[in-house]
Amino acid sequence: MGLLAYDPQHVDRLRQKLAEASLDLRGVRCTDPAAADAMRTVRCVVEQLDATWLPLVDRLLDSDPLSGRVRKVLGFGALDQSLVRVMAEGYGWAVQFDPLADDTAVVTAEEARALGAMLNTVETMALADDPEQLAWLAQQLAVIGRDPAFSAEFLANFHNWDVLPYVFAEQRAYSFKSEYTGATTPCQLDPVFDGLMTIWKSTLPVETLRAGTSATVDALLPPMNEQDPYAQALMLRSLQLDPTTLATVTNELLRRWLDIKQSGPGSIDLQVRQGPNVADLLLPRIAENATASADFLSLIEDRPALLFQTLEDPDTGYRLALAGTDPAHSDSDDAGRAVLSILEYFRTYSVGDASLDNDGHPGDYGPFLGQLVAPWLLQFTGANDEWEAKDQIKAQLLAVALDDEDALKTLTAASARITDGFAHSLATSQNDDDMLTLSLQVGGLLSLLGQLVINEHVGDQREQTHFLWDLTWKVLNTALSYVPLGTVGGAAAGKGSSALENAMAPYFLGPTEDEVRRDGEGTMDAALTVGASVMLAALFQSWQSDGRIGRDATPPPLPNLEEGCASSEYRDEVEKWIGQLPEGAGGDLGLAAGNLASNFIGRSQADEHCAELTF
Amino acid sequence: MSSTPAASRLRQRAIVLASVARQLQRVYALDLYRFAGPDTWVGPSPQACVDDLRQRRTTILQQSDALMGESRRFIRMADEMDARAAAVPGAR
Repeated sequence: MGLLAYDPQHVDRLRQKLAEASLDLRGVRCTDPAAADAMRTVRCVVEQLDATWLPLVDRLLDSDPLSGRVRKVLGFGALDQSLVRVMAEGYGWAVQFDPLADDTAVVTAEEARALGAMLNTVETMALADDPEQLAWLAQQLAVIGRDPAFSAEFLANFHNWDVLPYVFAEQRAYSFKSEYTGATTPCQLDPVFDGLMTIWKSTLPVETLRAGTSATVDALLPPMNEQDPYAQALMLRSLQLDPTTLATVTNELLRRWLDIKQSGPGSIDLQVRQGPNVADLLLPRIAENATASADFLSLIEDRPALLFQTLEDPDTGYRLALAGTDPAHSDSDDAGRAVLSILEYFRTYSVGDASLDNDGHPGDYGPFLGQLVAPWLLQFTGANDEWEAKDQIKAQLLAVALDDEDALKTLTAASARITDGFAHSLATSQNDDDMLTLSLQVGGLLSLLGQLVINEHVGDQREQTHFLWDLTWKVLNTALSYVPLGTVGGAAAGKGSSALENAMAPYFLGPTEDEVRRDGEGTMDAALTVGASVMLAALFQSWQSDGRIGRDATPPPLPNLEEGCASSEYRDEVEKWIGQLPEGAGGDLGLAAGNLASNFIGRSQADEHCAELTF
Repeated sequence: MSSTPAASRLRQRAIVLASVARQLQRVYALDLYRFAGPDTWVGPSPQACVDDLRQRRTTILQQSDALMGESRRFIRMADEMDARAAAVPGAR
C-alpha cells in the first residue's frame, strides 16, 4: 500500500464530474442489435465509475487526511514518496493511504520533477547507505533517462551535482576498505551514476558528446564546485562516450589526478587508497578498443607515467599499450612514437624504482615489453626508416625492451605478433631489389638482436643462445614468406635447417661465463650465416623459376657451422659461387647475390665476429 | 421513388445508430480525464484513474465511430434494395 496526495477541492469537483458522467451515460440507450457492443461499453464505463472511482473519491473526501506525525512514522521522507511529499509540503495537499502500490516501471512527468527536487534535499549520506532506496532510485533514473522529456523534467528541478555524486563516490570508494561496515556496494551505487548521467547526457549537444580530441571534462560534466577526479571519473564512465572522446577526457583527468597524487591526497580514491582508482575506472574501457587505445597513447606520449604510475592493476596498462600499438589497428608512425616513448620511460625508471610503483604493485613489465616490440622489430633496424629516430637511439631502446629474461622469452614466443609486424612492414618481393631490401632489414634485425641478447645478458643467465637461436629461426621463417616462391624457398631453407639446427647444438652449451659469451658470439655468427644461406637459396630458386638461370646451375653453398667462424668461411664459399654465375661477380645475378649475402655477413662483420671468437 | 418496407426499416435503424453515435461523442465521460490529472491528485490510484479514464474515452469514441459506420452501411443497403425493387419490371 502506498500513499496518495490530493487537493480536496479538486477531488470534490472530480466527484461531481464522475457522478454527472455516470448519470449521463445511463441516459445513452439503444436496443438495436447493431449497437450492442457500444451499449456494452457504456455499461462497463458506468460500472467502473460507480464501483471503482466514485468510491475511491468518496473515501478520500469522507476520511481524515494523515497527520504529519503519522506520515513521519510511515517513512514519508522515503525517496519513493517524493511526489506525494512535494505536493503535501510544497502545496499543502492532503495525504491518505493509497490502496495501490506504486508501479516502479512507470514514471510520470510529475514524478520525474518531484524526484529531482527531492534529491536536492534528501539526506545524501543516508541514501548512499540504503540499498533498497538506491535500487528504487536507479530504476527510476533509468526509466527517466530513456525519455528526453522526462529527463528535462528531472533536470529542471535537480541541482545537487555538487553533493550527491561526491557522496556516492565517497561511499563507493570506502566500500573497498577492509574495515567498511556500510550496507551498500558499488553494484548498487554504479547504476545510480549510470542513471544520473544518462539523464544529463540528454542535455548535451551531439558535437559535445562526440568532440573527439577536442573534448573536455568541463564540457561533458554538469557544473560542480567540487571537482573530485574520482567522482568525475565515475560520471564520465557512465556517459558511455565514444572511444576517442573517452581517451581525450581520460588523458585530461588523469594528468590532474597524477599531479594530485604527487602533491598529496586530493581525490577520494587517494584518501582511501584501497580498491580501483580513477585510472582503474576509465582505462579498462579504453583498453577494450584499439582505436581509443591508440588515441590515448598518442595523447600521453609526453607522459607515459599516466599509464604506468596510475593503475591499481598494471595489466590494464599493458593491455592498452599492446592494443594501441597493434599493427592491425595503428600505422607505423603512430605506433613508433608510442613504442619509443614507452621504452624511453622504462629506460629512465628501472626495476624497483619507487616511481614505478602504482597504487597496486609495481608490475612485472618484462613480458609486456617483449610483446610491445614484437610486431615492430624491423623498425628498430637501421635499414628501416619508418620511425623518426636515430639508429643508435632505436638500438638502445630495443635494448631496454630486451633487458629482461622474461621479455626475451615472451618475444621468442610471440610468433603471431612478429608475423603481424612483418606483414605490416613487408610486401612480397617481386624482384631482386625487393629481395635485397627485405634481406637488408632482416639481416640488420638478426644482427641487432644478436648483439643485444649477447651484450645485455651475459652473466645474468646462460640461456641467451637459446633465445637468439629461436628468434633467428622465427624471423627467418617469417621473412621467407615474403620472398618469391616462398614455399619453395621455405622448403629449401627447411631442408637445410634441420641439419643446421643439429650443427648448432654445441652453441647451446656453455659451462662458464666466458664460454657463454664466446658461444654467444658464435651463435650470432652462425645465425647470420644461416640467414644468408636461407635467403640465397630463396634468391636462387627465384632465378630458376624466372628462367634467368638453368635448372642444372650450381646452387648456393650451405654453410659449415662446425667451424668456429662459420661466416668467414661461408663468405669465401659464396664469393666462389658468385664467381661462377653468368657474367661473374660483376653481372646482375652476381651483384644481387653478393649484396644479399653482405646484408647478413658482410666481410667486415664476418671478420669482427671471428675476431671475437678467437679472442 | 417510393421505398420498400425493408429499406425503410433499415433507414430508420440507421437514423437511430447515428443518433446514438452523436450522443456518445458528447457524453461527459469523455472529459473526465481533465479533472483527474495531477492538478487534482497524485499517487498510484490517481495515476491508474486518469489512465483508465483516458482509455475509456478512447473506447467510447471508437464505438461512436463504429456506430456511425454501421449507420452509413445501413443507408447504402437500403438504397440498393430500393434500386433493385425499381429495376423489377412492373414495379411501377
